Amino acid sequence: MADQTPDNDPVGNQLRATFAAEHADIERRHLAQGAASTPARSLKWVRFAMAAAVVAIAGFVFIGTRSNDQAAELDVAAQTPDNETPDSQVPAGGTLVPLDESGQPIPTPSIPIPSGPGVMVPNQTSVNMCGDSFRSDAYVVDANPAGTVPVHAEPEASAEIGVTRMLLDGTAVEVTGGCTSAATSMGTFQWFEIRGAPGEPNEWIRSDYLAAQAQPEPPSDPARIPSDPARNECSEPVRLVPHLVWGVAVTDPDGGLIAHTAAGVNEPVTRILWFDEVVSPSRGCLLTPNGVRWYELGAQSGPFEWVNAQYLRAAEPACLRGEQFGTQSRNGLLIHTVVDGDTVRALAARYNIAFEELLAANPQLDPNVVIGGDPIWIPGVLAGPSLIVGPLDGWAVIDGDLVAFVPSIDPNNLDLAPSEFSERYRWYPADGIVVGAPCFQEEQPRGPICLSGDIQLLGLEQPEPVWTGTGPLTAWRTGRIITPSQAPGNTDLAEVSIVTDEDQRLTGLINPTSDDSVDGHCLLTGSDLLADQPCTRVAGGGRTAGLGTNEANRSWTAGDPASAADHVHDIRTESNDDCTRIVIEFGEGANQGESSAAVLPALVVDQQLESVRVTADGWQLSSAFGDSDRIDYDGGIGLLTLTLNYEFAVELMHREMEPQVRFLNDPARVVIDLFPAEFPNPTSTGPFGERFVLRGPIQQDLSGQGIPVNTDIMVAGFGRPFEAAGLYRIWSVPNGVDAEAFLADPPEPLIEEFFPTSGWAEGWGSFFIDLPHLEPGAYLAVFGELPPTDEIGFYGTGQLFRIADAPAEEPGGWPEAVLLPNVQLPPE
Amino acid sequence: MDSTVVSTQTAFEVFYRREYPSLTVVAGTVAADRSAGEDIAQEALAKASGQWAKVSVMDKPGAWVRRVAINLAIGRKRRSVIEAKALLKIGPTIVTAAETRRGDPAVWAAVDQLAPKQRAVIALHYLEDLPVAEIAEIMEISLSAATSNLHKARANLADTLGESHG
Repeated sequence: MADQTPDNDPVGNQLRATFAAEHADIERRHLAQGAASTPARSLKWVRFAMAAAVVAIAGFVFIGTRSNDQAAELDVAAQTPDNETPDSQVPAGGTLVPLDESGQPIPTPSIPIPSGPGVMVPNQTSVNMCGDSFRSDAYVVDANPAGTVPVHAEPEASAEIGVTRMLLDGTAVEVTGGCTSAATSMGTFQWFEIRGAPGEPNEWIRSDYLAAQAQPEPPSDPARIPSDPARNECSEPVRLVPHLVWGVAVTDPDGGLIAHTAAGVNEPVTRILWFDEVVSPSRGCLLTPNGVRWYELGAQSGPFEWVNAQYLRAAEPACLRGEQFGTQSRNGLLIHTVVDGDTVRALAARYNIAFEELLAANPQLDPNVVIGGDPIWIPGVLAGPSLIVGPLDGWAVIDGDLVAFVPSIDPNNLDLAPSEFSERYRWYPADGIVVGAPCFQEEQPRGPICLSGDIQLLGLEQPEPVWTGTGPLTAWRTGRIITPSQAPGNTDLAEVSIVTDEDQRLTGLINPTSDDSVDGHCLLTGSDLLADQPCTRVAGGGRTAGLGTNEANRSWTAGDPASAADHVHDIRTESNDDCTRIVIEFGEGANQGESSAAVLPALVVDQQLESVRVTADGWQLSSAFGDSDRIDYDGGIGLLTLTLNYEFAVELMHREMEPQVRFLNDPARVVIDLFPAEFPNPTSTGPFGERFVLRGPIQQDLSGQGIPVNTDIMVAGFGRPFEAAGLYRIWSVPNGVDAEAFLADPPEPLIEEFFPTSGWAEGWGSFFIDLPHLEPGAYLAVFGELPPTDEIGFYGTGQLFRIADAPAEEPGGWPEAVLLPNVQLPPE
Repeated sequence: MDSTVVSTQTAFEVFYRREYPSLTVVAGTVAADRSAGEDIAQEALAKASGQWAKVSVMDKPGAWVRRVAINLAIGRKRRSVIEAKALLKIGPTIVTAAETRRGDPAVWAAVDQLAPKQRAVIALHYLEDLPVAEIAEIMEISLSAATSNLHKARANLADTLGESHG
């Protein structure tokens, strides 16, 4: 079970508090009722008489004013599951009279309550009259504010009578087995018999003056509970593949294989694995004294969880092809899940099987009481088939003419704990599943591929052409490649998505090693004007393939290293209602009669969440049309930047734009279409000018989580006013600091660093800062322009953030990171 | 002192007073209704009274009466139809307003959504602080079934009450 100590069991604590409140209220009402009424009335016999149905349930016979017909009907309705004999009756007046075993009325319990000083409370040495509420635990004196509690020679109805000695709080007492309980004028107490002082007779003490001492945990057996979960005593290593729970009878009353905290059937139980579950062993394997192998599973609720390995089967990678219909279990039993209104007899009738047969298949079943949600196995009834469509990777175990198959378990996560609702396997015909190899293998790197010549796109389910066309056509690899053994002709086939000339998006298979295809985008030609070529989401599905994705940190290469291009010739922008297009055109003959280049130079396109950065791949500019320049477009700005070694970067920074990149030759161009993004942008509220962007972990902090210590933090921004360089300052601040007041008269900062900007154009700039690692604590950072030499002061934007010891939020800690509005510091 | 003054009736009365509140909470939890819990607790105790000669010499009469109460509470829903028909036959009856349960209403709402067996396990574990082995004994189910029920109940409650279950 999960760790349920009060400190880390919030649900348990809620339950305890609620149950305690309810118990206290009922007890209070009960005591009040008992004090104000006779015991007979407090037992509410009258209410029994009024509620005929309740009477019926209890096996009482109502013999009051109703007719014989009514009585007969009630008696029929009152048949109880266990056929108990009626054990009491209710006479006409409405008073219930219990019946003895022979059916004769026995007197209503009427007990004199001991009351007042000197009344002896019944007791007997070493005899427990308290039932199972008495526990012979170890106790210490506790709970009396006075610090001492009285001990008596006998249980007493009064605190003052028969006191033999006073015991200090914390005194350990030895209970000797005697217990009695009585309601007295002081209230209802239990009295425990305890060992007397040496040489003295036993004594009695009120149990509410005692506190049970925690029982020591049984010592763990290091031979059975290894400290190292990877410990392997078995002769062969555990295969780190999915294992199917195997050979567990579906009619097991527990419904499956029992997992324990350690190897061995007598170890504490952690959970039950269903007969069709899939689990992930880790490396641990133990041998019990009688030589049975036990595997450690990725533990669900604690450091260790072990099961008997004979009930597990290692699965093999498998490929389900085409359409297959599966059944629910190997032996064809349908599992019926009980719903309200079900009875065992009704289920037997519904499935047309004998009542006895149903019971025999479900030994766990109480024929009289079935509970909603309980599984009931229906023998001889096949579960309805369920359709699954391939090709689908999975894991499987062959069993005769059937295969137990579980689709799509991630083999990379086998060390992780299985989820609460583990994968389940189902049964399929063996001829529909190839066991031993998956359908697909992951392929790296994913990227565009240019198809030329005649193109045949093969169907995924059937390796026949589903589309034919002529290149050049850019296809986007999805990262999967069909396993040669699964492919027609035993050749590699890559899964790609394409967009046809008819704007039809298709996914299928191509031969990626064909001479007619090259990695990278096709270098297309043609107009880049929106009027001629409307914006197109060139990648199928936009967010799933190619550059039509908003995934961060994606890098692409394109172009030809032999290109004659040596400068950025032009940057232009165009917008319509659909998109904004930015065209970067490259030229040749720098400073010598510049002209457009025909072939695109080798480029790296680096796509971040809110920017596109195009740089040369091993290419140095000899010249360009300007050291830096800026373009404005809807939703952002672009900066062309040259660094000192003549490397260049075209950087587009914007908010909530989804870029699509294409490459054109003749003239050589990079065309970037920016669409309004469909994804939320958590960082767009940061004020640094209007365009301040925070990236990296700091943006996670906006949700209130501290940044784990030693995390690399990158701050990026662009906006204006901006200088060629900026300055940032970081202060260590107390929790709950008033940032504005703090900044009105700031102390010396903990860190003060200049940072370069990527460029400057009419006051606009951009920057990337890698912050140094900081100790855990609360911080205030301000990023701004170069420190002033005039009276304006330091102007920028601020960020409160916290470096956490651990990812978890500390109770009462820093509430959340907040972005400050524009910050102005006083002149220095 | 003469211990024979401990009559059957006295012992039952003590038993009744001691067990009634907890029994009411347990039965009310399983039945998802406090008034029903009171009725069921009284029924169970009435059964104990009727068979006190047998019950009183049991090792754990408290466990016995809990088992009776839980079985009554679990079976109550199905019987409610029979009850309704029976009440129609005997004419008007006293209708009492549903009792408001104390404690956190959200917790009660979450507990009420559990399967009856899970409610029983939860009540026995968190109200009475009983270990799983004793719960299994009271409910006459296997240790692993009790463990499983407790685990599932906790997981369901954690989901409903918003704790990430671990």
